[in-house]
Amino acid sequence: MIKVTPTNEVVSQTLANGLQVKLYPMPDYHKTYAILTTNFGSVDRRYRLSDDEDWIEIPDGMAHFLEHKMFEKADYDAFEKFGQYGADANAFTSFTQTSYLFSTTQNLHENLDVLLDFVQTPYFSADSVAKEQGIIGQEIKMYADNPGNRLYMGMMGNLYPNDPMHIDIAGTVASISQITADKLYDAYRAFYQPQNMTLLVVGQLDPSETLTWIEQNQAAKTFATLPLPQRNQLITDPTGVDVIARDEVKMDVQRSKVMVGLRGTYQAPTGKERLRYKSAVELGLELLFDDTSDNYLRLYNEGVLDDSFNFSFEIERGFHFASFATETDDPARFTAEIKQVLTTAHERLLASEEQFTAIKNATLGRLIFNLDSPEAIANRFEGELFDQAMIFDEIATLASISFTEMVEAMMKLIAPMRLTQMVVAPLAD
Amino acid sequence: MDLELMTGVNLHVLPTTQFQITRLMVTFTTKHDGQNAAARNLLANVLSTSSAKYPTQTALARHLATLYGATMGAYVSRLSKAHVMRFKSSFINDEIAGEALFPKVLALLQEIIFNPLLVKESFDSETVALQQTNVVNTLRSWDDDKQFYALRQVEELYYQHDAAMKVPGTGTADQVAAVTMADLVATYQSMLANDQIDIYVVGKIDEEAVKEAVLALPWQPRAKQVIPARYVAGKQPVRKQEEVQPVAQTKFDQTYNLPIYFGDDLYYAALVMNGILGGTPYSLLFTNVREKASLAYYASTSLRPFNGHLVLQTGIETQNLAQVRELVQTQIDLLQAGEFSAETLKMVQATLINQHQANLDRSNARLEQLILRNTAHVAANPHFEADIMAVTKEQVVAVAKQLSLQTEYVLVGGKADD
Repeated sequence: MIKVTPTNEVVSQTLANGLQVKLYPMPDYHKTYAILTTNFGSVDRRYRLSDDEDWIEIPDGMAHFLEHKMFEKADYDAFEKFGQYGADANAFTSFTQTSYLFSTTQNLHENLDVLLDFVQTPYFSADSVAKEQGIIGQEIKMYADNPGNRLYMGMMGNLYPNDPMHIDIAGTVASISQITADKLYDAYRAFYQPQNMTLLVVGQLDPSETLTWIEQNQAAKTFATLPLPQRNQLITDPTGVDVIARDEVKMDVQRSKVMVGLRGTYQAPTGKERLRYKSAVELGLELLFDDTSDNYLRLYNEGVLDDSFNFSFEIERGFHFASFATETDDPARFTAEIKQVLTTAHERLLASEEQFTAIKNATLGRLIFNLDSPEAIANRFEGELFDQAMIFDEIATLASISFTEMVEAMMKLIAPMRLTQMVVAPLAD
Repeated sequence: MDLELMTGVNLHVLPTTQFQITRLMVTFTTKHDGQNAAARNLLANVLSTSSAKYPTQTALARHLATLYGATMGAYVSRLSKAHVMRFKSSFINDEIAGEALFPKVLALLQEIIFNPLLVKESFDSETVALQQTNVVNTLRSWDDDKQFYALRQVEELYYQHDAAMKVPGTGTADQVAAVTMADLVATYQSMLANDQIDIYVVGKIDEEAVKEAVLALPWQPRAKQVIPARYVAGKQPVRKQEEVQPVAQTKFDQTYNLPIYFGDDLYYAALVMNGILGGTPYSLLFTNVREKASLAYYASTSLRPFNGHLVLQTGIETQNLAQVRELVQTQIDLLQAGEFSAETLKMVQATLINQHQANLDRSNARLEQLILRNTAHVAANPHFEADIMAVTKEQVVAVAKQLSLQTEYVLVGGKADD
């Protein structure tokens, strides 16, 4: 029986300006990891601040471009500031969020100030925008040459052909050429308000001292009081009838890579329910597809899939899907087999009841692996999406999923059967 | 604790209460000769697929599930000319599981290593055939990642005059395809009889209990081997190669001879030099090739402190190749002339110390350090931070002056698809 007791309290606080702060101390650790996230990603394509305003269009790739540009200031470079205080810094943009982070074993106070100050002090100039277009242009080309990325984005394009998830997070060379300093300032004002942001700090820290530092930093700044931006609808067809059944791209690869996507249409009423749904589906997918399953062994031995096989379940703000991928000589057969397992999932799951406890313990065990990483603890936090759940809530939720709840969640995901196949095939074929 | 259990079999234990998971690794080390890597790679895959007691992958995976999601895998790695076969398991601590997992995981490793699925004197032929196909496919797929492909080409060019070093620790796809059942059986027998064996444990465990449990396995003493873990190429004439492929981005990679090795007196100055040249976001390459000239998304360097060189990697537009080549040369000139600020030196020192301390928080990094030091025969340095802080500008310049271009590989983007 697995038992996890958090060794320390999670400190949660929403500051006067709306910034949400979560602190989790890990006294045995040398490093502290901090991540400041704004709820603005590549799928946000237009916005307005009130009903009477016109919608403002956002060029594709804007959130990611903004992330790059934040590091450069009129009189300093944020990377160098972190460097002076001995921190490793980075940033990344996803479909729905932009995050800025550092990891340090020294000067936590100074580094927290650097993080908050550089993200909360926009500076964009025409010159630096032009230069960034060259750098990101190379980033886009690097991803264009990456078959794994093309496979994933191809699948997303099939699953959401009419929705912004089909567009690369970095945009295109053409779309980022429309970005100007003014557009960056406008988007920044709307989406980088403290009330749209979360700061997590995990690792070596004293919670009350750290909270005081953050409060002092924020109290010294004035923020415009604006409403939160209204955004475009993400999903044009909630039933998912628009899913494209298959697509293929040819690249310089040795063997075909195939990814099957299964779009979910269920809408959980609350963040808590959404976390239960996610936990239950993850268990169900393990039962059907992981290497303890009979399906896996049969398909492996027949050469339909190999050690490259993997599956995952992703939920973000407004959309979710499962995916199954492998390298194979026979993509059509792989897709047919996955579809067959999904079509017969109800019987298969009912027949797997005696393995449920072992799989649940194994899944719990692997979730617990994350407790050794301040980064993993902080990065798993999804805010409102899962009703502010931290990893300990995730562990408790997973442990409380019953066999029946797992089967029900799986059928919610599978029953509409919104399935697609994406293939990256060798050029010679 | 570092303990010789018997001649050629050593136990290394790092007890710590910091982590929720424990890691156990058994390694078999021999000299990499360019011929043995492929069979050892296939062997690692065959052994970790099944055993006499767990005759299918599913049986093995189901057993691992009962150990609360413990992971178990086997793979090969190479440190210069030391070829290492690794059997690794990670599992949650006993008080979380509510039962003692270490003895069970050790028993599983014993089963995997000493009790394979055999038919008469051979491995199960179906398992071998399937794993052989899979390993060959995996190695061929490596070419799909163009950044990695370019890196392997520039390194292979560097090792052009050393038939063994040219071969990766995994063996090549063609070599793996040619391994016979007889090779595999002979490799297995030789590994059990002759390889240096090391057992590593990092986690919340009792040293004495671990020692007692590990001693119960059927180890046999073996002759001590001296396996070189540093490769000295010597300066060669510059070799250049160009290749055209249908890719969107051109890759421009180089290697530089740098005869400074892990643990040498000048090793710390070499780390700092690498950070100033291309190993950090305030490096000369990042600042001048990426940020100022806007020519690349990545332009970086990394040390190869067991193989005596440094590699440089960029991804660029084809038409900018000459400009990038010149700009890279300019950065090396600047470095060798000491044209970098005291602030940059300080930032790189602070970053290296931060990385060093942060690695103490990663049990995998702690384990890797143990393996690295044991394989390279370099004792832990308790003064790492002081040694980094003591590096002077003059030392950085002196180290930089030892850099000499050895190889250059350009993957030229031709017409991209669709």
